[in-house]
Amino acid sequence: MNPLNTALTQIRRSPYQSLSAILLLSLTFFVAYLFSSLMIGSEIVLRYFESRPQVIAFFQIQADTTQVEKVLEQMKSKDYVTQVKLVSKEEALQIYQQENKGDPLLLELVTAEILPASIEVSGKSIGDLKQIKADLDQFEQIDEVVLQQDIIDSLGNWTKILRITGISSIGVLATLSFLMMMIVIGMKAVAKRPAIAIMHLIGATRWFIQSPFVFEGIVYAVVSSLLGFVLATALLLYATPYLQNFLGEVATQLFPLSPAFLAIQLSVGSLLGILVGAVAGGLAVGRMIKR
Amino acid sequence: MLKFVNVSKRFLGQLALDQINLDIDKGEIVLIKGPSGSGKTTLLKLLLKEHNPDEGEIWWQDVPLQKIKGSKIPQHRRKIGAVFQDYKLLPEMNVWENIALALSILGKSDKEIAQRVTDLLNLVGLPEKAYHFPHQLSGGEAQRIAIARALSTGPELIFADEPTGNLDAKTATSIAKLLQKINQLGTTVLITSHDEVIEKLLQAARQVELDKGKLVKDTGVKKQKKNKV
Repeated sequence: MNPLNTALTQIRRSPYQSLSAILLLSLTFFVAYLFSSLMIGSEIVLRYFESRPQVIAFFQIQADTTQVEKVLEQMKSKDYVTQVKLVSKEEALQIYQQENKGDPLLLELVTAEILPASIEVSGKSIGDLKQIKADLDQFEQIDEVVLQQDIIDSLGNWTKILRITGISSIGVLATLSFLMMMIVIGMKAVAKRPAIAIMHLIGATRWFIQSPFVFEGIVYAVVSSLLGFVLATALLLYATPYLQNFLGEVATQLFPLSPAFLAIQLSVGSLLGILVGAVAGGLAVGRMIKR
Repeated sequence: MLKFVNVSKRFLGQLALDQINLDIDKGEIVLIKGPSGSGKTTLLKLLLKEHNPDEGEIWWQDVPLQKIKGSKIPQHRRKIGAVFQDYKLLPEMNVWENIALALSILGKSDKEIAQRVTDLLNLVGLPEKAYHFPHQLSGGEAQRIAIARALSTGPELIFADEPTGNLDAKTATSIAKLLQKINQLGTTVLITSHDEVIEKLLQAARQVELDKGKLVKDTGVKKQKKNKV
């Protein structure tokens, strides 16, 4: 009679209690898996959007190619810079011509010589853009640095709110799962109070009494985690075409769902569940045991 | 083997045991009798360290029980086979599992447990009830299983507290005979009872009488040895 066998026997002999416990916990795990997918998905989307805004620096008209190249190399060497794109005078002219192709008068007046070269610098996160602007401002060859501060600030606020909301939601769900498991196993322990008293009288140690409940918590957690994962993944797979359509260009960052991500999600979820189940089971029965 | 020296115990100010002195030798069978509330069950509770005496000392195998630390109480209880009036079988476990439970507490192997449970079921004469649950047993059968569980760990002392309290005369006699048989096999047996059937059957054994927590009569070790059952 090892603790796992005893736990399985306890589950088998109270099938309705066990089923309701597993269904309740599966629901919690289902929501937790969906939330974690949403959290990780939104993090990827946020990173994508964070990397979109750029700091644009316009060189002085007289800046030569060597000076431009030097700035380009120095900016590329920075840790927080993800991408540096040079727009030469000729490319600037092409862009100008493209934008004003309907107005020949404007095209005739402008040559590459009077247009400044520029560089577009992207950062790893929104917070890096201010530093990039400060770096670019230091170069003498640069005439003007453009950063749309209000848009950056607004995006930064939104990403912060989304992250805090996500972390809080996962925290609340974890606490709920823990309490739910403690209540379910605690109820079973209360029903077994006379049995616990008898075991004490015949010389059972605290761990001997507690261990089947700890294993019961682990079994509930593992089964519920698997059930919740299967349901959440099935729902995500079903919704993939709709989400791809809705998210447009960003969807390429998220879909198809990576098997590695799913494996990590299931492993982390199950490990956390096992931990929560074991602690909740141990604590619930620990309260019943009095020497 | 077991010695109560000037032991007193109060519950909510009421005296349950008053200056009890009792010396039990190895291999004895002792009937502790007295009316309800005379303190018989309190003796068992003190011996199992469910409670501590307010005064006096209890010596078990030459060690005062007061010296046993809280963490060592389970090990102490395993040396005493306790049999209760209400059997105290675990309702969600079948007969086999109830007996095996005490052995798994000791950490015995499955093979050893299987062998010992089979032997004990044969000893109490209920091998065919192995997979019955306690609610499917009669009172006498349940008490036999409780005795088998108490014996499973090979205790040096069996303390049976009113083992026939819920049984008819015929079943009570068979339980008392079983306890006598266990004593003859070498185990010390203490039986608390106010059942006349038991008293008659164990009239040759040492008899200790309690009344309102006081020890009022002890037929003594010598007499018991002379008239060994």
